[in-house]
Amino acid sequence: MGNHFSNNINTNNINNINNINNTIIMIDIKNITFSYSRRGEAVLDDFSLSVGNGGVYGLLGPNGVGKSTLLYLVAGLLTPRRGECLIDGVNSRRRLPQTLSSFFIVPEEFEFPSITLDRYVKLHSPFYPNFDIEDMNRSLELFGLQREINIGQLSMGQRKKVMMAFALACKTPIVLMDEPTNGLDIPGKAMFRRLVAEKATPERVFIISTHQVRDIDSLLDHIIIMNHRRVLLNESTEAIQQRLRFEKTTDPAVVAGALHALPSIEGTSVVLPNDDGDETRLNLELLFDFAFAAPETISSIFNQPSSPVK
Amino acid sequence: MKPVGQTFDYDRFKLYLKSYVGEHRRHLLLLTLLVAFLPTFLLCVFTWLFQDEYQFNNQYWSSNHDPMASSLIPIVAVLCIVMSAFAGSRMFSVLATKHSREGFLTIPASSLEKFTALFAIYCVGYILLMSVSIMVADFIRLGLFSYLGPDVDFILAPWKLKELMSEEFWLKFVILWLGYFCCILSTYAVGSALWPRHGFIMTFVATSALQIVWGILFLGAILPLNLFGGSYEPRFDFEVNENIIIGLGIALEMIYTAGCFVFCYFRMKQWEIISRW
Repeated sequence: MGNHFSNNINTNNINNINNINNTIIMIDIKNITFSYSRRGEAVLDDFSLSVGNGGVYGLLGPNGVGKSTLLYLVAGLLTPRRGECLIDGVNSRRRLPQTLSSFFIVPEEFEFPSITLDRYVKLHSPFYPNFDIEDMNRSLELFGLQREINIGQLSMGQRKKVMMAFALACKTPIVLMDEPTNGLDIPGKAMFRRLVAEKATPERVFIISTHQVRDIDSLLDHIIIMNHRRVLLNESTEAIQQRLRFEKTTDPAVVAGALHALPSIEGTSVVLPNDDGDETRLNLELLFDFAFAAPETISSIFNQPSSPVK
Repeated sequence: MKPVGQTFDYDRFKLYLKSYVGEHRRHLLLLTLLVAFLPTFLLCVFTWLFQDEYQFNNQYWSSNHDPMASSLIPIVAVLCIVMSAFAGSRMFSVLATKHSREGFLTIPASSLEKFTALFAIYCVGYILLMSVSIMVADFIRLGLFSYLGPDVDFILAPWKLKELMSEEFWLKFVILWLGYFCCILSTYAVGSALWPRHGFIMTFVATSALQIVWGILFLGAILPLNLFGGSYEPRFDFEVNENIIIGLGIALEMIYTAGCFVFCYFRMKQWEIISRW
C-alpha cells in the first residue's frame, strides 16, 4: 500500500482553498446537525468549522456541548442528520481506506484486545504506511512501558500511554484526541506534552478536546471554543495574544475598564485589549469564560462572522 | 476520480483478516472447539443409544450398509443447521460494544474487505470446519464402536456421501438441504447485523414470531378458498412436476441467501459507534 494521504491541492475544488490566507482546509465541517436519538434535541445544530494549517488545536467547550461528538463525526464514526465532514475533500462518513489511514483517533475510553503490545503493533501498523517503529519504541521508553506487556490487562492510564505512543508513531496527518490527559499520572502528562510538541509539524494537525486546559495550554497553537450552535473563537494563540492581554490586578479602575474580569484569591484576572503590542501569557480559563460571557465582543475583536441566532 | 483500491484490495483484505483473527483468537478458538467436538460427542452418544440396531436383522439392509445411517444422518443434518445458526449469529459480534465498534470502524480497510473477512471466517470457515469435524467424528465413532457388528461402516466419509448422492432422489434432497442450511446461516447473519450483542436469541425469537404470523396469514388466505370442497379430494385438479418444485425451491433458497448477505453488508456499512436500534 502506498501513502494514500498527501498534501496535493485539488485544484478543481476552489472551496478548499482560502486564497486570502493561503490556507489548505484539511478538515471541513459543513452545517452539521446531529442528535443521538432521531427525535431528540440536537447536540450540534447547523455547526460549521474549518481546520487548515498544521498545528495543535485545543477544542474547548462546556460539558455536553458536543466536543467528543464532533471528534467522532470528523472520524466518520457518527452519521449527522444534516451536513457533512470532509477530510481533504472526502466525506469521512464514507470510511474510505484512504481517509481512515489519514487520521488516528484516541478516544477518552477504549479497550484493547488481550494480546501483547508487540502483537498489536504487528497486526495494526501495516495499515498506516508511515508507521515508525523507532518512534514507537522511543515513546514507550519515555512512558516507561515494554512491548511485551499484555495490553488487555493494563490500567486506564497505561492504556492511554500505549494508545498515544501508537497514534504518534502512525504519523497520520490528523490526530484526534479526546481528553488525552485523563488518567495520566504527572510524569505521563509531562511526557505527553513533550511528545506532542516534538511531533507537531506544519503538515500535521492535532485536535485535542479537553477540560484539563492547564495540562496542555503550553502546547496549543490554536484555540477553538465552541457551543453547540457555532464556533465562538477559532484563532491562533499568537493572534489572541496580539489582540488581548491577560493580567491580574487589584486596581478597580482597571477592572472597570476591562473587556472581562474574573475574581480570584490573588486579585482579579482581567482581559484587556492589547494596545501596546506587549504579549502576555495566555490565560485559557479566563479566555474561555470571556468567550461565553461576551461572544459578540469576541466576534467583533477577531472579525469572526456570527451565525444567526435560532 | 475515485482513488484506486478503495473498494477492495486483496493485500489489505489479507491484512485485515490476519488482524481480526489475531485479535479475536480466544473467541475463535472457543468456537472452533465447539464445532470440532460437538459432532464427535453426539455421534458417539447416539451410536451408543441406538446400538440395538446392530442386532436387528432386516432383509432390506445390504451387507455393506451400516444400519446406523438412517438414525445418524438426520441427527448430523439437524446439528449442522443448529451450528450454522450459531455461527451466523456470531458474524457481527465485533459490533457488540461501543469500544469494539470504534476499533472495527476506524481500521483503514474498506467495508467490503471487512465484510468479506467476516464472511470468510464465520461462513466459509465454519462450513469447512464443520465438514472436516463431521468426517473425523465418523472416524472416531467407527473406531470406538467397531466391535458392535460386522456392518459397522463409515456413513459420512466422502466416498459414502458420493454413493448416496449418485441416486437422483438423494442428490435433490441433499441440494435442497444445503440450500436450507445456507438460508438459516444467512438469516442468523442478518440477526447478528441487527442485534450484534444477542444475535442468536433475538433472531430465534424474531423468526419464530414471523413463522407464526405467516402461518396464520397463510391459513387465513387458503382456508376460505375451500380448496378441498369439504372432501379429501382437491377441487383443483393439476399435476405438479417434482423437478420444477425442487428447482424452484433451490432457486428461492439461493436468492434468499444472497439477499440476506447483501442486506448484512449494507447494514454493516450503516453502523455507528452508537446503537440506534
